[in-house]
Amino acid sequence: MSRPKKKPGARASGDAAEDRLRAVFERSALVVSLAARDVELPEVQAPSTERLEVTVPRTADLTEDDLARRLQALARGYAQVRECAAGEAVQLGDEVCLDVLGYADGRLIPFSARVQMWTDLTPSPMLPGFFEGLVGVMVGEGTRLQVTLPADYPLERLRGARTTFLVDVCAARQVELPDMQSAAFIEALGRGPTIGAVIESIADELEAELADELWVEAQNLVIDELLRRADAKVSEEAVDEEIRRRWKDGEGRWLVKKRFSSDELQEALAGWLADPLTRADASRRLQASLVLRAIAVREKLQLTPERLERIIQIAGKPFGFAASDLGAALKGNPALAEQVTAMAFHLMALGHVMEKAKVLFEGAPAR
Amino acid sequence: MTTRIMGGQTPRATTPATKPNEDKNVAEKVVHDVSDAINRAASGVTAELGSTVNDARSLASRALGLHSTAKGTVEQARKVRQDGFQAAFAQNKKDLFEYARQGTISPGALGAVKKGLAVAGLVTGAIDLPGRISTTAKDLRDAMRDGGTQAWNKVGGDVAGVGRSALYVAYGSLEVARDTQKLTAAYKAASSAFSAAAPEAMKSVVRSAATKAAVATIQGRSLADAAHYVTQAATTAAKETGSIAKAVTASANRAAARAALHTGGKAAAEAGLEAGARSATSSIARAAGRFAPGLNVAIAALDTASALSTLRDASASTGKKICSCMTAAGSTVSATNIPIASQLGAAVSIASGVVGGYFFPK
Repeated sequence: MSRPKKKPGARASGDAAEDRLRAVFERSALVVSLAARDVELPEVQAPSTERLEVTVPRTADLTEDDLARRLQALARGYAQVRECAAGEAVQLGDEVCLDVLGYADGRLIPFSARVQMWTDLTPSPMLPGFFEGLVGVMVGEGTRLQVTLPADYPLERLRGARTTFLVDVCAARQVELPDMQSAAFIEALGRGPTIGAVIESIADELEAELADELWVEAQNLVIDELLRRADAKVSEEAVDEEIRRRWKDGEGRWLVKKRFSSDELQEALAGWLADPLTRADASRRLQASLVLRAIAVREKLQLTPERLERIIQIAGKPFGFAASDLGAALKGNPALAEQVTAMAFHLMALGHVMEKAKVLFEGAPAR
Repeated sequence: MTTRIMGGQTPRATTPATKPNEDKNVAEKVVHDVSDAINRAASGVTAELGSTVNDARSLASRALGLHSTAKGTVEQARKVRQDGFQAAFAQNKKDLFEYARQGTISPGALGAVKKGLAVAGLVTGAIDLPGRISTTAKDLRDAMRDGGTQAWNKVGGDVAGVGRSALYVAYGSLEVARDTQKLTAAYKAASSAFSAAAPEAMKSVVRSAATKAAVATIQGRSLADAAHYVTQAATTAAKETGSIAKAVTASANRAAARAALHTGGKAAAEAGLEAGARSATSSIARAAGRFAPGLNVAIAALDTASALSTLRDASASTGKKICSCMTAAGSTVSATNIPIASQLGAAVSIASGVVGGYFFPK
């Protein structure tokens, strides 16, 4: 096949391709370099763990909505599902997989980037017109949506804001839920002979999950008390690095694939770095980890292989991983091994502190 | 005393680049530069993730938007040189090739080509069609970014429903000793405000990995559980049981009683760890379903969402999947992402000692 003739003045197609490839690579390097920063961390004096007592506030009772939502989630496992074909228009009620970018006043809205987000295509009062605007968009296509955020939007500075979203419809499914009161569905669930028994089973399960959340809260309250006693401080640069690493592993990675330019990436990262709650959370994490480390050093805690395996076994179980997998999976991979071990160290130190702490749960009977 | 923590590792030795480009032909240069770019990106990926060279090359190629293998990319570039762009793609995309060559495309053919590209999986291919709306369309993004006045680097008490005294009005003034409790209150207040504005969007749907639906969610079959609505059918079914009142009344006290069973001593340590891990899995769907532009989704939720993404990624190694899950479990109890324990030379050693021996047995 002969090579097409170029028109005078036309740019060589290979040059354009080369420029695009080189630009994408440079952006990738930028993202990698964004997290490659030196940061100074202080040595923290370990606080006392004597007379450590916390009271976990009572949580709210389960609601009818909680139970119905869980029932629906269970029913989803038995639904009739049809994958929509590329080029097929999505309809209300479909499940859609979206890539999303939000803009307001000429800037990327922080935390608005989503990649491969599955959601139901149903209207939401918090984003009026967003989901409705996707109806009719073909799978594999994108669209631009104008959304005026409501007056009661959770973020004050965006209330009433006129926003623009770029949305790619990456995939879609048509889902038909089973009759949740049918005998066949109830039998398939295996949670009892009647819908009433199913609901009781669901309530029991949700209560167990509430108990888990109470324990997470207990641990965080203990950490709060340790931080109060330690009065540790970390630099803003360290907080920046903590946020930067998380941004890179999540949103940053996605945005590179979206071919964001360096200034776009900087803008996206800046939104994270400037968010007060994100900074507070990052700062707290650094201090919590430093304080727990200091306690571990003072009390000569050792992360033995047996302890490590036990921690991994417990932490990995809900995700379906067994400790026996880890050794084989991480052999010869120092970076991942370091990360896993560091996390196990944190959990070991926290567990040691929790052994000493007195934890009371509001609403629990006196013992 | 302070200790410096290094932000990056020294890249390992890279795979040698292809031969120097002696041929002025653009396609040959593309072949050379693409391979070189892949190798350089691969070295960065290898250093960062510690993956094998082959894995790194595959990752780097995908990150560059190219074929999944370097060989495939080279082959594509070679076809461009030999036969022109038309041979690199299906022959029926004639107008696309015209654009690639001359930068123009007939408007009438645009719609058909767009659909064809979508079907062929070239939605984010190397060539962007003019006027195409997509998150990858940089010209579109640039157009939306022009003329803006909002500076997202402003810091202020933007969290709805929280009193000014409880907010961090300027992060430079944050003092953790005083504000730690406020952090918890602020998050809860923000969460409450979010719930009040859009209750259906904030409710967690799938929580426990023990349930079949939750396991299916984690394995990627469905994230509809993160829906922002509950079907009428589900509500009706739940209501007609007559068990609702009994189920919800005093459920909080029963949950507290369950939690209290494990207080005290060693039981508390493991109970906390187990609870945190289970809670991490349950927050996955919660994080995925929470789409609130501008609102921080919280770092713990980000880590669990990242774990979900990794678990669903068929190309992710087992080690990476396990690591992401451990990170998510630790994140629920305020762990940092920076491995300070080992880097500050404390009780953990990777390269040597008992832990090193676990991962690197001799």
